Amino acid sequence: MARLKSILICGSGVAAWFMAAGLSKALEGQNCRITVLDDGAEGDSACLGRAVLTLPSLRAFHSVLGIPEDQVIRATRAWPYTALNMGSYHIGIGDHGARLNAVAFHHFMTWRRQHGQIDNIDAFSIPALMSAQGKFTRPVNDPNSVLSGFSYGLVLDVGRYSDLLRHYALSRGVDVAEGCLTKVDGGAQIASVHRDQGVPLTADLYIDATGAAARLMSTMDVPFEADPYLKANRIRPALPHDTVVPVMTAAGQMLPVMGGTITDDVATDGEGRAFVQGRRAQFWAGNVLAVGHAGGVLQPFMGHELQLLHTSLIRLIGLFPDDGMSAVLAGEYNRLMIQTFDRVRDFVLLPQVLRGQTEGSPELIRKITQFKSRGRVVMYDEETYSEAFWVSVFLGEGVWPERYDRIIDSMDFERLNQQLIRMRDIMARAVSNMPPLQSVAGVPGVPA
Amino acid sequence: MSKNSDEKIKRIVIVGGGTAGWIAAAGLSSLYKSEDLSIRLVESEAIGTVGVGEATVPHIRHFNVKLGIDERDFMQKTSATFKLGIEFCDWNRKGQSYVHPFGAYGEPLGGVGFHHHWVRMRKRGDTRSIDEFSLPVKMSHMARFAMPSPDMRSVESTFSYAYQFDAGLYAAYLRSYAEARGVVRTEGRITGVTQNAQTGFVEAVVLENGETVEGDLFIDASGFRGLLIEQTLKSGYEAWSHWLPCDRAWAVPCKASDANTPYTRATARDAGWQWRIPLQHRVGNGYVFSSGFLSEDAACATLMANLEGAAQAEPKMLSFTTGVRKQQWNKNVVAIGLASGFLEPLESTSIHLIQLAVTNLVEMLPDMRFCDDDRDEFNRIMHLEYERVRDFLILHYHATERDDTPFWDYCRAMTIPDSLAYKMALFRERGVIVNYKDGFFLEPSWLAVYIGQGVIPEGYDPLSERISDEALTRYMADYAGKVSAAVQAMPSHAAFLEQYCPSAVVTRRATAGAV
Repeated sequence: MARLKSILICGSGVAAWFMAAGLSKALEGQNCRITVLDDGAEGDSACLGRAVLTLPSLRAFHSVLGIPEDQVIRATRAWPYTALNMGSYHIGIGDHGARLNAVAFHHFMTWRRQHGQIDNIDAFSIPALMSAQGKFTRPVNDPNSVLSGFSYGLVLDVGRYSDLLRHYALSRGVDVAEGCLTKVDGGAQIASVHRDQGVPLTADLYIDATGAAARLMSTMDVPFEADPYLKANRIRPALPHDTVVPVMTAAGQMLPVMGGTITDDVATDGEGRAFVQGRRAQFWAGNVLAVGHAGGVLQPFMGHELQLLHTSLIRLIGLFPDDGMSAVLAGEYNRLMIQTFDRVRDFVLLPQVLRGQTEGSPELIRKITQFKSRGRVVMYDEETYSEAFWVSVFLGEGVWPERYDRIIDSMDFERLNQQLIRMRDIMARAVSNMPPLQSVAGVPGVPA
Repeated sequence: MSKNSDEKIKRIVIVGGGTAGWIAAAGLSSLYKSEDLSIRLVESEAIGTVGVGEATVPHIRHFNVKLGIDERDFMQKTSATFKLGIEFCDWNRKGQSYVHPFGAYGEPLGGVGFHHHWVRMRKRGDTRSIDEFSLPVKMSHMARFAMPSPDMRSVESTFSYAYQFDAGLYAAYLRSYAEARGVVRTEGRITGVTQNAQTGFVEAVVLENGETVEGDLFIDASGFRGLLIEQTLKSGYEAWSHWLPCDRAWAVPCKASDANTPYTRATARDAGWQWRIPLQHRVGNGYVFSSGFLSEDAACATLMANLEGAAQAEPKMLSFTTGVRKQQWNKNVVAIGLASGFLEPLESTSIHLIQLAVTNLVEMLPDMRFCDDDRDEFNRIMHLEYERVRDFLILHYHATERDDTPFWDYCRAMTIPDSLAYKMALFRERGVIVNYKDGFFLEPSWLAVYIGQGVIPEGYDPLSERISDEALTRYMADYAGKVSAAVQAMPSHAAFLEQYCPSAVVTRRATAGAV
């Protein structure tokens, strides 16, 4: 086998620079030339909105790159968040309550409800309480502490984030090819990529980060499959509202970044930039990989955009090809990425299905049925969102299990109730003692 | 909104004792108060039990811990030994053997799995076996044992362990546990089953003496015949004999010849394989074979000629069809153990699958409405687990160079499931091991069997090259040295047992071995 000697990334947005930065680090010392060619289009090739949420695991990406979080925060005007405000509830990054006797906490809330105690579910979630009260502190490592059961992500300005990764990649020797992409010689394999100046470019591996146009993948006889369930197809900037925490409304998202709030509304038809939700039938075909919107498009929700890019990067590194471009590796990459994408799609769909706005996929319907019936959260292979995220949306949307786990009936009711009330009080006290979000070190500035 | 209390099931009846029945009884009684849920177990001493799986996998420890079982007490009373893995002899080629350990090979380096580095060095002429980098393999080779260290940074933390025990004594142990928690045992042979005329749900089982035992939910632990799940409800069976052609087993206990080994042995024979499971007071043996390739008499003779000590009982033969019940849960009957399906004990999964079924039943415990979703979800998950174990077993038969008997020719040449074929292709080509959320066998297990059976990757993760040859050589020598030093410092398995949990079994038992 011979190692890959060259990778050509086409695109100019965050997807292109995310892959360039990640690969330049992973391949350091390998004599593999990484080149980025501008596709000549406007850059947004992974995020529909102008701001984006990150999930906590993206910190691992920054830590591998060696970019300290403070630097990410300053450079991207980022703002930390612990929960997404959904209007009547929060999707917190962390569990509700704690497991008792190996029974998941939402069973206890269901039990209390059946016994006439209607709780505000956010009252049992530290990250939700923090978000509701505009508080922030970083979690602690001690598993016995009430402050260990949550995490946080960042709200980033997409353009600035892309710039940060671009500087990083360039400083590590990634080349930028002059000119703009004009034409691709595709087929079973990409032979070369033409541009409006200079000779055509060739590489061992091509990464298509050109956004929904998928200018490389679209030459490969790999169809785009529109999602049969997600119907929104327009996004437009809306008037900024003042908010210090991310808010999701029926129309779109309001995301606070330093110096303001970025608001983007999604809609079906009408004004705004058009998009179609769905994905390619394959994410890796021949010698080309499609990432970001070139691979698939989903409306913004709970930070899936950068998360999917990160997953693409990790999978590519885990299945890194040699110059033989094995169909077996591509097959495994596709199997994993298709499952990953579809499970994220299900999460984006969940609130819409629960509100009766659209249908669910068979896998999602099983999830909803199981939760409604007995509070079971079905987790498939390759899930991105952990149980806690699903539970928050179910309960927040008013879907309560018909039955709780009856192991609870073998517990001491009085003691259990006291335990739960104590838990709630401890959480309330812990959050009220936290400093306000705006005053946290490393977050210099207040959203205007 | 309906409430739990309106529709709760109140009576569970377990049909059949033995390992499966008593695991269910113990598992359920540890979670539910008997006032809330009554559990009855019906068994007949007249019906012999097939001692299921004398050898186990490490998951059993989680189950025991959940039950609050004291390890030393339990090991003494079941005459148990520790198990660090399985030694497979003659599977790839005659005269060749390997250990499938409960533990890791090396540790990831530079974000790349250890075996990629090993393959890389091998391609450059390094002839060291990957065994040099596995503590549990070396412990097995030298018959040493010590408890794993809780310090995750130390090499002594890189393994896990299971047990080898007398399944009959394990069942008895769990029986006393369950009875202390309110499970009521009823002695008697079941001669009839009454079903609801409209729904076909099982309402009661009728005993030989005329007694009727009614229940809301029935757990069928009656063994191969599946008294309720098959004989009554005709749930159907998906046979996998074309992939796993063994259909008989002779079993016999014998006197131990030497010190107890901390591993199970599976030796490939002309038309199947022979197990050896060392307990403190005896050794369980058996020959699992395919009657299509070998007569019952010849198989028995082979087994008896290959015992290390005097047989302690007459050999007993079992017949089975490898496969899985089409519906392991049908109406108000949930099948566990042999009633739910059969996979040969090559990887000691029988008890694990029983415990998994009990765990999933708790998770999906129905109420009196018996909604289909509970059943379907249970069936979906259990079927997936069976299939994934099945694929792992098929790998042992299929990845072989043996061409000395028609049986091995068949296994080597057979068409395997796609779900296994692509996994093998990925490993062969680039050393990639497929992982799932569900599915019991993890990366080191697949690695052990692949390498042990001659499936050596042609390529390796190119990112391995980020570590220089010199650094890698140094690291590997260092790791092998740590493994070797750790093993040297450990007591022998026999000495450890003697000090930790000497068997309470004084008289030798005359039960046949086990499947």
